[in-house]
Amino acid sequence: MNKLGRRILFLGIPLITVGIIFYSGHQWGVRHAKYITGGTPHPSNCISCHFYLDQDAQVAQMLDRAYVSPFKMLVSPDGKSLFVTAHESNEFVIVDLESGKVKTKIPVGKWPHSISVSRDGKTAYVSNHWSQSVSVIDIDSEKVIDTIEVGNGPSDLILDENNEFLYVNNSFAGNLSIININEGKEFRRIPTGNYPMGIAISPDGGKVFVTHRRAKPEGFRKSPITELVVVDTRYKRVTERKEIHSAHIMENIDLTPSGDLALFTLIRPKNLVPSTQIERGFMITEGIGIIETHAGGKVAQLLLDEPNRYFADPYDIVVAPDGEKAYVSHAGVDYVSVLDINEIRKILAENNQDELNRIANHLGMSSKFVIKRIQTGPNPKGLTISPDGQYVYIAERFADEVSVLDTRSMKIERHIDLEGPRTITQVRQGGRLFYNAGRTFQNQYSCSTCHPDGAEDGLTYDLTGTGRNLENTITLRELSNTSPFKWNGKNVSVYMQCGMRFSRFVTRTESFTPDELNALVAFIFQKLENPPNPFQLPNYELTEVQKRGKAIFERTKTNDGREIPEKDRCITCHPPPYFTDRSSANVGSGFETDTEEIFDTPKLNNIVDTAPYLHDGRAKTLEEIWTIYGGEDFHGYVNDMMKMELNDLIEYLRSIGPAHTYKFEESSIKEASNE
Amino acid sequence: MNRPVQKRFTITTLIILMLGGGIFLGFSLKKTLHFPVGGMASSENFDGAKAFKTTNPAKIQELKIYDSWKHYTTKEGLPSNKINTVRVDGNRVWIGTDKGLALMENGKIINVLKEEDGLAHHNVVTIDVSPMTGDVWIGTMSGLNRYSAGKFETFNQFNSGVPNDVIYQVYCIDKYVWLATGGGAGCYDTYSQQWKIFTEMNAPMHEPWTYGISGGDGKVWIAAWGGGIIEYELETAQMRDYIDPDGEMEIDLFPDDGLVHDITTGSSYENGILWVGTYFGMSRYDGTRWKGYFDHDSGLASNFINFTKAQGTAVWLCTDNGLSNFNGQTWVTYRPVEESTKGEVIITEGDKKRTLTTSTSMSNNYLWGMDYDEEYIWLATAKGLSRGEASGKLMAKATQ
Amino acid sequence: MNTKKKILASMIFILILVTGVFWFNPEEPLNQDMLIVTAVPSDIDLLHDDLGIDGRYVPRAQIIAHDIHDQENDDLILTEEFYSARSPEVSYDGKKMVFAGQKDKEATWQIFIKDLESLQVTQVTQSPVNCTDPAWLPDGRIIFSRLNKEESGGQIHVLYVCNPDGSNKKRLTFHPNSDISSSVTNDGRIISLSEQKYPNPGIKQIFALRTDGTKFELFYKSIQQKIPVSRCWEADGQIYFIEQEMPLVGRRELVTVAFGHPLSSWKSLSADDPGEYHSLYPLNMDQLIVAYRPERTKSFGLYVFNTKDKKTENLIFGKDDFHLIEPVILTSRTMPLKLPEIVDEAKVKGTLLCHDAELSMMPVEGFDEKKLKIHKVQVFGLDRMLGEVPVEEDGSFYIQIDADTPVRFQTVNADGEILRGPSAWIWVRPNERRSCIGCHEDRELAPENKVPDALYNGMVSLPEGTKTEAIVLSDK
Repeated sequence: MNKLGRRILFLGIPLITVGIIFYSGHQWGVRHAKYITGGTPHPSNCISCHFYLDQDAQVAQMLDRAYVSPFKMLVSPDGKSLFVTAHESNEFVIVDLESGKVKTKIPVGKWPHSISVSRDGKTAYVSNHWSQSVSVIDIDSEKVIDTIEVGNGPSDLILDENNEFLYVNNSFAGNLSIININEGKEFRRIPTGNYPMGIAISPDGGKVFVTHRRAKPEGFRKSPITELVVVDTRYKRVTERKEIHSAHIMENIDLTPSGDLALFTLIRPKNLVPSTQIERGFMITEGIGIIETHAGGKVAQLLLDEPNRYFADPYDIVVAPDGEKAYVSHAGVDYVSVLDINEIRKILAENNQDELNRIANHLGMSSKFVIKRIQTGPNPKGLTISPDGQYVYIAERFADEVSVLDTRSMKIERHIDLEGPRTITQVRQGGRLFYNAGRTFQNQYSCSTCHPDGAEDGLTYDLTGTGRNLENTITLRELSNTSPFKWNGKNVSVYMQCGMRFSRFVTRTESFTPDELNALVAFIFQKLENPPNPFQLPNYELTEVQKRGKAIFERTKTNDGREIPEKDRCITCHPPPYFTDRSSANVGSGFETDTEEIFDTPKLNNIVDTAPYLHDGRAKTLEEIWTIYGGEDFHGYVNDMMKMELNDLIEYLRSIGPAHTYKFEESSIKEASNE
Repeated sequence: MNRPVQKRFTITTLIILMLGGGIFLGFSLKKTLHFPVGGMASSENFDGAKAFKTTNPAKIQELKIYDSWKHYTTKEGLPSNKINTVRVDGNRVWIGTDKGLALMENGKIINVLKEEDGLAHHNVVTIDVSPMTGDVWIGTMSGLNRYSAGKFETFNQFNSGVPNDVIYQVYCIDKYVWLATGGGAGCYDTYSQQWKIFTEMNAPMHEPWTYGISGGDGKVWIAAWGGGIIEYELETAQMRDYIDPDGEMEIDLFPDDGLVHDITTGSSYENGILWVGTYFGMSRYDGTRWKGYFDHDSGLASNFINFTKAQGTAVWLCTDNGLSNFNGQTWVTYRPVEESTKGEVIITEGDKKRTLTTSTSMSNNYLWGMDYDEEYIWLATAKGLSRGEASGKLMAKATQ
Repeated sequence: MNTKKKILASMIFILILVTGVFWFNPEEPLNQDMLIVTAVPSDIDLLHDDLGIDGRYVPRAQIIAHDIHDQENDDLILTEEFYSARSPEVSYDGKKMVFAGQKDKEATWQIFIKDLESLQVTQVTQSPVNCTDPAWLPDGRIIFSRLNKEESGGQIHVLYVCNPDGSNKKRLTFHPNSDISSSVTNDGRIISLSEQKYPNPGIKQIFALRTDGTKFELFYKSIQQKIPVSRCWEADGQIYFIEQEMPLVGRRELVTVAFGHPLSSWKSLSADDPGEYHSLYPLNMDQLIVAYRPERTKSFGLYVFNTKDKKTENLIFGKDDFHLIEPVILTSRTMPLKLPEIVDEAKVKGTLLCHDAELSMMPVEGFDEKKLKIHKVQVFGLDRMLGEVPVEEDGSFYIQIDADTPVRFQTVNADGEILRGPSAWIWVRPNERRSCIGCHEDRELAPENKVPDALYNGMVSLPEGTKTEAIVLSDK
């Protein structure tokens, strides 16, 4: 063979080999991607999944950035400082408003949520949403001087006028911690309602108003009724429970300076309406609730939406010191609405309660009292207003900025940089998409509207639009490694779940682009975690009751000694760490409205927070899964149990925490067995 | 002989015997009746002769005599005349009947609540008000209600950890709501929403049937049918039982050796004294010694005690034949005079007894429950709600 | 010449070649930001334009391009090979123009696309009847109005959609209405001027529908006996169009409604202006280009209109012997959202669920209270009654009807007396499931959050006697 031939041979063979390997590898990769994404047509590559989507992937963690994510804010009484909770960096941020620069960042608990400040402006109280505590911060020394234990999921909080008592909503526990400031500890904890969120105190200090995110458990296919609870600050007791009909997600509340009106944000879902369309507010409408605080006062709901234009996810509301205007942040559409309170007063005066109930569904009302819509940065959350009423500060969560609205010119005057990372990672982009309604027809709702904070809204929807196959909204937290998705287990991937069919029948507008879908899935898998479960003991030990419950969960024999077939044992279908075997089963929960009797086995992490239960949300409590819907031992063997044993089992279920705690358990077990 | 006739016979015999005994001992009635109502040191080894010397008013709570009665029936707006329970809540009074729950304010029925309003069952058996939250907890024949600021929430064995839907007594202490039910005692932690159940499986009881719950000083006492009294320490979760040592069903063989009977119907605790009601008499426990009381050897209206309620160092006992109030020394027993609107007040101290009559009386002698406020006592009777007031006139008469 | 020199020379040659190719850039025939406009000889009366069949097909019109930045530049005629052409619309990328044209005097009007870079013209429709009023959909397809001869007797403009090459042509509207001057709003829907022709003529209103012909609903209706007469354009959340006072040939004014709530936000921008407006195009946030004439004796010219001051400013392009109308700017625009389509051509029926037939703004007179309760709904097709449907206690009813067939409703009480109706025409597409809140209810009302009784009490299949078709459950 001549020199050229040898060269060709020398270069050609490796090239051909590489080519063959690359080609076959690519072919295999395409088949693999098709399988994983359920054949969703989108140009996925190895990196998009293996770098970003795996929660435990080192690369994903390396690529992640410590964003600030401003959440709620408060201006100091002297108007010189701005206090901000940074929920992703777990810090309390102090901004000097003169220079518009960050002065300091003080580490606090997990997910700092809301702030209340003493009248002298020297002490700030910050609720740590995921740490069951309130951090007490000395503003002068810029130090955390105390940490007070409260209930589960502290969110909004407020000091009384004499700085004697601090009222803290415990969102996950459904109660209100009342803290004695002088003693620095909890004085009392009183039940409020389902998932308390917003809190405000009347100008005379006599009443505390608490709004709730979730509706009362009214029963199957009932329109949601959510409570606005009034607490008497003298006796520290609930004295009023106002029912806000056909509404929920009442995130924040504020009062007029005279205290005659309480205004709060809300969502009016249409979960009972067959979802045949989105037009005309057939899925979700958004607005505010108003109550006249005097005895026998009217209760009104006014939509902030318009017939062809929706303002998704109203979050915070602040009333100007002069009581003339109120400002509402719309986290789902990056807008702030400016409301004329006098026009709202007119509407209340001109309509009796029946007429007010009718206009609660009127999409044209907003044109009467919304005087301006102001575009903001991504995901505006908390609002606060300067003591002189001149500036409204807007926390732009996904921009790590606070924008400053001049209330005279009604223009964003400047942006305060909270010094977060400049780069926007794919996961961060996914977060922006998750919390934005841009991919829903006329911006009617975002992913987070039905999955607030990635969890669930506790409602059952008729997404088929036929009254059949009703679906209980399921939490998106810790979704990774739990495919297939959807109650009937049809969607093998989130790509499929949120792909073309989703846009055709749920969002009814242009679907996510492949890049958007990658980002969205990355965000869901990486960032939507479960909060710590307070019923889990430290080091994941179990109480005696939980141990008994676990034994029942894992039992192989009934009380009368009969062998329980493996398929009918709890642990078989619900193994840790996710407590799902990712298969479907018939547990006798198919009802007259279902076309199928087999449903996907749900994961059980933090199941204590995810009522109602079963695929269509029939079971209001964990008990009802078996006492009412268990049938003849279809859903595990329970009919031989005594009530006490069922309680033990439920206490164990209530203690099931985030999946990673069981990964820890598994690894420690492995270590133990290795030793 | 049927039961009421038998009782009347026993009471008359007792009165005759006492009067006879008094004359025999040469006491002058005038002298004998010169004693303050209350005012004795203790009831142990009480005998009339010592009575006056060992008086220690500081320890003994003076008893009022309620001589003026007002009745509330369906005419006044109650849903039924069969009143199962009554509970004072500040200036309001909650009334549980077999046909719903009524709320009275300033002497007027202002609200009647039924199943359609969210009440778990029309037959309301027991009511308590949480001192911490002010919420009203209502036990019915089919589930438990929390009534908070005008809204009901129902807990039953289907949707919660309630041990059983037949609830005989509800009792709120700190953050806990305790229940005595037909399927064991239950404890609900309002902070964590966790339930505990106590039955013969995990507590010293003979069977799950519990009748009464009371508590105080960090302890809770469960009155268990046939199981005596179970004491539960809230902090340590330790339990112990108090039973009738002689175990005799019919009689108390050895007096004051412990609980008078294992079939307990209720208990009540205040000022370090635990009072236990049974269907066979009443027991008093001061933390060291037990003492038993029966209708045949004390002023107790009847051994058949439906409800027990402590007040200071005294106790109220609702029986099938009237109401007794006892301060450790003196008994004041109330019951209507048959076939008249009058009532009789029997004041007994040891073997000394005096009967006074009142122009009005409780509406029926069969009592299911009672409560009191500073001014009145409220009685849940088989024929309406009765409100007793102490005018002071009869008191003066009694102390002449 | 040695090898090195050869290599050097060839390298220099290649370099020159590459540089030449790089610098060689044939001048584009049309600059961006050019004004494209329909020029109609001024002897043609435009007052009847848009007002019926005849007025749409103006003779001897041409589409021309005019450089607004350099008035010295000659105007370019873009449709020289046409006898008449009009209604230009530039594609969202600013590279193509779709328009309606008539090759010669006897030819029918068809839809054409002109590539504004190569200046090539391609014919989109090959129809035996007139096709006009083209507009681009965000997915690149074309919508247009086709002059059909309908069963209902008359000729009406029907809305169609097809690919740019004319393939995959589909009908979108199915009522006896004439639908013209369509445009696409930013939410991806089509809005058209729609006028009922059968059985009795109605007045023009603006209707919206999705790009698959589903969810047809009222978008705007004048409350002052005026009618919209021009194509609508959306800018900065406002919809701008020309409205004409009734009776016909009344004054034409420039009006706007908020896109968010068009039924309750009408504003006249030219109330005090004695002049006359024909058509418009949004220039920027505060300015429009309007086809305007100060008085009726003059021809329409193009002016800048300031929406803040509500004033017609300077004339930017005018010709005494031509009406200059239907302006568009040669530039790329924001692309509306592409709406997914749910029509299943394999199906022959669709469903309609009315939540509460009692909910209406139309008063019923001459009946006492007891007789006002709706007992049944009568459903009519074009030529007959298709059947009667019982109304539930909560006022709801649920029907499955033949797809792509116009229907209207009439409510009757227990004695069979007519309470309301007949309603306006609606239709459902194959496999469409549409709902309505009431009958002639307040169109800004959202539904109450409740399950209509009729949902579970059985769906009635119409026309009577036809079988119910299985519904494909549209789960996500």
